[in-house]
Amino acid sequence: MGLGVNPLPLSAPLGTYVEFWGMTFPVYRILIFAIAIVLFLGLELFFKGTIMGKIVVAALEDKDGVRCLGVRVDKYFSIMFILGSALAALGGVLYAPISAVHPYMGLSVLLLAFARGDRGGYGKPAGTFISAFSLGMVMAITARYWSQGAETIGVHCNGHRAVLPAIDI
Amino acid sequence: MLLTDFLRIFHRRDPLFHFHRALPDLRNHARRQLCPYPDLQHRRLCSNHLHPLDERKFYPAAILAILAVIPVSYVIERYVIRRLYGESLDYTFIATFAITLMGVDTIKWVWG
Repeated sequence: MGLGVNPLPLSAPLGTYVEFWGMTFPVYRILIFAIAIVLFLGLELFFKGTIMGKIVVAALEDKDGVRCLGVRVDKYFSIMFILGSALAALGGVLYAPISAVHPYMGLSVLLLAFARGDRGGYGKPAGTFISAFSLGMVMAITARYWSQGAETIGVHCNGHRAVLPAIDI
Repeated sequence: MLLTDFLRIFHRRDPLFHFHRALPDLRNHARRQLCPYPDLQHRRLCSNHLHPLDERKFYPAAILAILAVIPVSYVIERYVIRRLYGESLDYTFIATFAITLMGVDTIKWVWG
């Protein structure tokens, strides 16, 4: 943003490629996918294995009941919102070399994020992960075999790639 | 009259002539305009002038971006989202979208 609204295309920080089964994969894409899986497992562990995660899950079910136990629910919700925002920022940073850096790059992901959150279920990292991955795969396969359809998806979902939604859990 | 007609014809051809001469410039302009959109066709167009990324700057920038989001998200949660916890989830979505649009409009207002 300090550079203005002009898009700044960036090269990937890891410019190497890997050959696998006759196909070439950029290492950076694989790294993004690995980070998404690590984040997903970390969130699962957080929600199921820590007191804070259990409080948040319980408060989502019955906020007043948890409040009656003397827990300051709003504080935990604030922490979760900040955690979600930080993960969104991480997704944006990782997406920057794939796309280009400009102030409006988040808008195009927003509708996709709503769509995959709605399909996966709110407060369910596993459902969100699966829905994000399947949505990304549908878009990638459509782009591969039916480019006109991918263009249509690009118009309605603002044309984003497979791995990105999986990052923004 | 004939002279006038000829002049009109030449005047009509003139913009076309300039248009054909300006085609390379227009193509470069389109290439610059298409760069932010990352579908395959456009990526191929703008792959020629990618800004080389310094890894030493990328990772601190990533950490800085995540840290910079924390106070902003706290303010948004404290003063906007928290008021909507008792309401339907749709209101939270609408509020999130509204904040995003306000941010984008602020960027447009400041940087054009």
